[in-house]
Amino acid sequence: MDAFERYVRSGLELAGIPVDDVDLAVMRAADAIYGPGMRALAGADLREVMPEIDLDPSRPPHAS
Amino acid sequence: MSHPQDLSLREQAAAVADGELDARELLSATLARIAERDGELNSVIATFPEQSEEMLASAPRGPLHGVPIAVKDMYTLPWRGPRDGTSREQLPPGESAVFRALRDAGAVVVGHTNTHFWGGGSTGHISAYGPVGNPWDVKRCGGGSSGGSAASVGARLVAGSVGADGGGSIRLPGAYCGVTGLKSTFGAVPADGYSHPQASVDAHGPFCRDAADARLLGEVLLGGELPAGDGSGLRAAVVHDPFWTDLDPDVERACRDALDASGWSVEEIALDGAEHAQVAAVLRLTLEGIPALDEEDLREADPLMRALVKYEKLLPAELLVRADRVRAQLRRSAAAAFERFDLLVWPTVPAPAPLIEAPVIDLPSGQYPADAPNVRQTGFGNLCGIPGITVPAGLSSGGMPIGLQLQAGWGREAVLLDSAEHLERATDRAHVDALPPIAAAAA
Repeated sequence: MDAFERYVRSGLELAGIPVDDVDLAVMRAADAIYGPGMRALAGADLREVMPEIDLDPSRPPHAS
Repeated sequence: MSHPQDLSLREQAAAVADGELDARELLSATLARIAERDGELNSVIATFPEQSEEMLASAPRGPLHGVPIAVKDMYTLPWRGPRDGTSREQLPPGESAVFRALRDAGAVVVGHTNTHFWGGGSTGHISAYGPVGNPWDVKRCGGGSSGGSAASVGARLVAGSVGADGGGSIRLPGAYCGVTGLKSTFGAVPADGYSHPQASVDAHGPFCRDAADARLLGEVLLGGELPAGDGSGLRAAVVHDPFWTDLDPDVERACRDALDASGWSVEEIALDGAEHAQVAAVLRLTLEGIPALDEEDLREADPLMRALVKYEKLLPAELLVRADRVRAQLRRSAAAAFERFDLLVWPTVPAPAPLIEAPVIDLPSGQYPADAPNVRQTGFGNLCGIPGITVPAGLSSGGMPIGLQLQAGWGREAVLLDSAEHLERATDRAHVDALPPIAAAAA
């Protein structure tokens, strides 16, 4: 059992959600596709990027 | 006269208004065409002969008086709650804002269209009602999640339909099916009676065969004029990385040709945060839907969809916070870009519609399930809240449609329609008037 499978099985078990081999295979495939982008996002330096506290997607951001 | 569904939306509306076309005959012919032609295409999952007749009997003399329209199975109707591609009603029957807008314009709702399960995919191959096919090849995906709405217009079952777009769900199937699809600015069409009211990325809009029809139906949905202007002489920006990279060669060629034909001034720019747009869009649009799912939804879900939800439940919360920072960054980048340019332009889809049996696409960097590269092209617009339109831009060497995506600043739907009409003229309407085999065979 590799780290991914341990993470999936224990994480879902903690949440009381069952997991089977099909789930695991799909999740592994999803992680192969989206995982690199998510890890890049996790590692991005966003300290200077201020969030939009008053987000209104119907309009441009207030700062502009 | 040819079949009335071979007329454009505006031709149908004008013919009914002028008394040249009987609205009851139009409705009857539309229902007959759906029954005859939809078959394997599977774009319309329910028709409403009785309720459509009732709508017609009391239809006001509005801009779409007597014109049949199909709507995505995510909007409530007074006689049917939306299923969202599942087997169960997700909302009780009622009057959605989309229904009210159509009714008040005199339109006749003829059907609910097939939708990717939970509205959660760009291919349309997973649905409790079976996969939705493509009018250009029924063995290929009609797209998602508004695939039935796109395919029904492409196959000339109806001249107008309505869809919703949370990660590209109007623009992507529009491109796959060779029709014009307009995603409006977030909030421009009210979301009441829509099955994903929690979404901060979803917007609504029309599918039609061309931009002039989309303007007519768009005005009805948005509840105001979208005045026609001059779409030539616009300032367009392209963003090479990531939106013009790793494309199917046919897509890149067709989109470059269309852009060249436009005669617009074109400048290449960069958008801060664009490298994270795909993942940020996926995180936002999937995670904000999870609290709306219940155990029964999960039990009945397709194994693929169920496993993906479980995967999403394990994602660290920090990622969503980071995604929202990227969203803020992208919105500021977009606002700055629209101070200098009228349009942001890039391909709607990175590759033409894949086979239903194996919904993967081949790109220069490898083979992928279609969803991830598709959202790369469209998620930016959802995070920003800006309007976008897909315009037919040609066919691949395999005979499948290709779409060019145009995006404009908040509230500038009219500019998008102007630019789309200009592109149609610049390409002699070759792409919007092309007939798919399912329609050509019967013509």
